[in-house]
Amino acid sequence: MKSEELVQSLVGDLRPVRRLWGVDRRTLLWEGLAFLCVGLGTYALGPRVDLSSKLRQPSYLLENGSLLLLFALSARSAFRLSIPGLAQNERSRFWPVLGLILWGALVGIRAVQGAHAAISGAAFVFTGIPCIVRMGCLGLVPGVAVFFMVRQGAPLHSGWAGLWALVAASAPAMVGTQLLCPKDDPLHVLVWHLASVLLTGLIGAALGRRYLSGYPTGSPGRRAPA
Amino acid sequence: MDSGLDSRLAERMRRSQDGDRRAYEALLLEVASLVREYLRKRAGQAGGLEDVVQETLLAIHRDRHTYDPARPFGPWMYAIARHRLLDHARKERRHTENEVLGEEAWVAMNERAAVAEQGSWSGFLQHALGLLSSKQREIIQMLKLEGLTVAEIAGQTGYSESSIKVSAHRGYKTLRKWIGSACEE
Repeated sequence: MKSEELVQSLVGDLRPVRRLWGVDRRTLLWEGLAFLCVGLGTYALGPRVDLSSKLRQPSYLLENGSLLLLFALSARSAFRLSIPGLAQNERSRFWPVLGLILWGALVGIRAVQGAHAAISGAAFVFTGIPCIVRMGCLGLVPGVAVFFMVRQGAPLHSGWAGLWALVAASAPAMVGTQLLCPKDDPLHVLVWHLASVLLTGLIGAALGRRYLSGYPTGSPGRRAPA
Repeated sequence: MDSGLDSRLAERMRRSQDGDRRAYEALLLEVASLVREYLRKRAGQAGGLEDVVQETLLAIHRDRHTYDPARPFGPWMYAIARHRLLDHARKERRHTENEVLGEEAWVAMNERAAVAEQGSWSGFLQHALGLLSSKQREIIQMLKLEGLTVAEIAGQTGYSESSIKVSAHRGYKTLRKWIGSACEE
């Protein structure tokens, strides 16, 4: 088929489309949804009993603040990556790494300075599993929603979009988990909190490559909302 | 892309999003020409560039809802074109690698055949076909040696078309497996 014939065929196929909302609006909408889900989930599951005293500790506040920074940066990156031409600059894709580095550094400093609880390997695993479950529960709805919303666009870098989408969903879920989890041991936080978020991001990258890939061979207009 | 051209294309895309076919036709023709020029600059005279132009047009059609008329049109369009070009280059590279592997396998198979069956290809192929069931062998011979279509084979043998396709597929799989192991040895 010649390009001119293709143009005629596409013109014949033209239907009015509803434009996607702007990146800022979609990001804010999703962030609101994520906060709502995590807030309600945390309230329903019941925060840790010493939460009021923890909220007076700068290190605790800084760690959760860095998670919120990661949440904001990764959500913005995921939504920007869903629009062609908005995230072409390679460096802009790495902004959320700043949030990860900051959080990792804060936990790492605490791990170096603080004392570790001496527990057996089995007990260590046993205390970590509830955190994974909490993060999964709190992040499930925001995670599905962000994947759906990113897919409404046309992510050209689907792996990156999937990575930051699930990091964005797991970061507020982890804030909620930290409000619930009574374990402050830095090793516990490193393995069961930080590594869980990283692993979720990697899963997101794999899922993104599979499900967000912008150009499958399908009929034109497959994902265009009419 | 100069700002006058960009705003003209942006306006055409805005009208196209609302369903204006004349604006859309003008837009696509202009986009095809711009993308063709862009690809020639990026990839020289590499083959298949017209395919990339067409894939870009399809992608623009499919993802036109993601364009925000408040933003410049050029970066949106060129991002799609660049992505299509990279994807095309990846597919080409994979295809070339497969061709090289195919040639190596062919040479290895040739050598294997020469040694295994008194240097005769027919002996090699006879052995390979001997691994198939009689139905698979009959169908593959009719398809590949006699050049019959699936419908013609169905007419001659009384097998259903889907059964012929399944048998042929299974036969190819068996042959591929045996030839692959023969080449490895």
